Amino acid sequence: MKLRAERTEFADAVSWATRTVGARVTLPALSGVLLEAVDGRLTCQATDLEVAAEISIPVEIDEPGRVLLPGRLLAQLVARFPNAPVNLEGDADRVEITCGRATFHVRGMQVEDFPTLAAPTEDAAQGVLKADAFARLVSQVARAASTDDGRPVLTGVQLDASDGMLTAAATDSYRLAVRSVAFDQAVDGVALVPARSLQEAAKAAGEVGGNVTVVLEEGQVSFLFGDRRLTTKLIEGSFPNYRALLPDAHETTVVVDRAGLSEALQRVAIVAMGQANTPVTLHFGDGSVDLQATNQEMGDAAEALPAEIDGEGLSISFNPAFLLAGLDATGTEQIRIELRDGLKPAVLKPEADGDDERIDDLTYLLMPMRVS
Amino acid sequence: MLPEPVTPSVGRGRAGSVRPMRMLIARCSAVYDGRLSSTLTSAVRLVMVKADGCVAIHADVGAYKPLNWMNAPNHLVEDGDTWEVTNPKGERLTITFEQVLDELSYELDTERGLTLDGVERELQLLLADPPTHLEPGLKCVQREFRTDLGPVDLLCRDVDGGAVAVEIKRIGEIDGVEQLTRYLERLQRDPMLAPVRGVLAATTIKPQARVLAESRGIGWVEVDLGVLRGEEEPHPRLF
Repeated sequence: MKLRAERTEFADAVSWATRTVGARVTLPALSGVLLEAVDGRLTCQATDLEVAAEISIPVEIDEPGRVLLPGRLLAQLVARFPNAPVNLEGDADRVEITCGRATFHVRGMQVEDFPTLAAPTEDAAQGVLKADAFARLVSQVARAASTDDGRPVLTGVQLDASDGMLTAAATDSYRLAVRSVAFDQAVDGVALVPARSLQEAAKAAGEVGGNVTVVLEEGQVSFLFGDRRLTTKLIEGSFPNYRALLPDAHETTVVVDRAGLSEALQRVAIVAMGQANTPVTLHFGDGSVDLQATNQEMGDAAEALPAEIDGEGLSISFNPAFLLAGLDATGTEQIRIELRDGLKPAVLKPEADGDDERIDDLTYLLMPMRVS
Repeated sequence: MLPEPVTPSVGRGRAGSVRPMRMLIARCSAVYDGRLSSTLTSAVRLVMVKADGCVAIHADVGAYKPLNWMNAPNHLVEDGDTWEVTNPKGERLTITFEQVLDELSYELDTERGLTLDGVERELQLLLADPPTHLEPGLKCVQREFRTDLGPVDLLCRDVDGGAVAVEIKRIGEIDGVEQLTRYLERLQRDPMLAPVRGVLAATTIKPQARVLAESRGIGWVEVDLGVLRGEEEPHPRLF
């Protein structure tokens, strides 16, 4: 193999492939990045057998070939290369990499040991949507997924594609985030995707821009954006029937400035954050939201801000971190909070500021905490 | 007034001798010189010399960590208002006393270590009646079911009638998986029981124990003691 690549493109490609797959490998060959130079393009592939990442960049090829190089070492090297073209030359056993005046010799690994990458089948149905819309959808919803491996189905985000819409839902059993976006080219299917893989896909979509193609198949889902592809295995098991959790009525509606509430909450939560399970209590009434937190070891805090309140006044307590995540997800200047009573789940939704403002179809359901 | 020097050297007691633990409440300053250098300016503090020779200077905050300490074996030389504690690693702690407010000296009992069995016993009793927190339909056949290698905490039957051996720990670690593996190997020899599934139950299960259990086909379940006791969770769930 002999080729010449542009430094930034080469560094980005190697770093994306290694980062996307992560460091948890169970076979030595999986710690490698497979570089394949053919037809004017260099393809970098990495996998941990759960997630497979592939990226292709244009290069000048003098001699096509395939090599398997240690991923982390290669990523560390190219990240520190000077701003000059990168030359790769060698065979499967040993590759010489030069950039500017720097020369490295890297031992290759057995190419045959690298597994065949999971990839979408050619005739699989594909859905297409805007990459920035996809990235935003994932960032709003995936935050509600659990990080506890004890209940694997809750570590995933359910993607439900039907009727021209892609609906993403995630829950850790304390909160639920769900939102739909329209496909430009629709596809049907349901997939429970590991939240971490989906967040990597969203990050790549945000970086690349344009469109993202979603390929839903039995046991796996693939995301294609520009010259990158990420295929991940799906989580087995049944995702909870979250639609049954969404309340169909509420007693009190609150519309409040999101940034103001978020800043007040962060200030008040400082006394709550030091101790697990310390809630922040919100009193809604008389055109005001009063926030209050008490920590027996540290002290207490209180702050009030104006709000439009329609319905009976009430008090409700939340885990401040979960409430902040919900406020952050909505994104609009104003936020709508729908409440039934102090022990029933609250619904957070973006609130349109004017008739012209387009808002996301996001629902963030949050279970309150008990206060003794 | 400093107390009269009692022991010129600590931590090297003769066999059979019982050394008291000394506690001084004193205004003192200290200088440590060893892996790094540090200084404690003058303040009222608690200085402890434990029976094994450990020397610790405590402030009036924090549960367990002294401001400065020297692990045994140490050599303590008391010279007037100054104590000099040295050890074989070349570390040196110099304590200068300005005023000793009080001094106590007591012989403590031999330490037998923390007893945590209470939690495991309570977990065993709560999980046995009934063990549906572990999996739906599970019924307990016997607690402390004997094997040649010791008793397994619970022997249960699942909805299909299959035998399930449950080992209960406060914290599920690799040792717990190894222990259950040994029990399972013995239980599989019993034709009345085989095949026997294994389940490790604990309030927290370490990631390494989860991996090892899964690689051996052993199930694992984290249980919440508060929920088992019927206490209300501070943070209720949506489902």
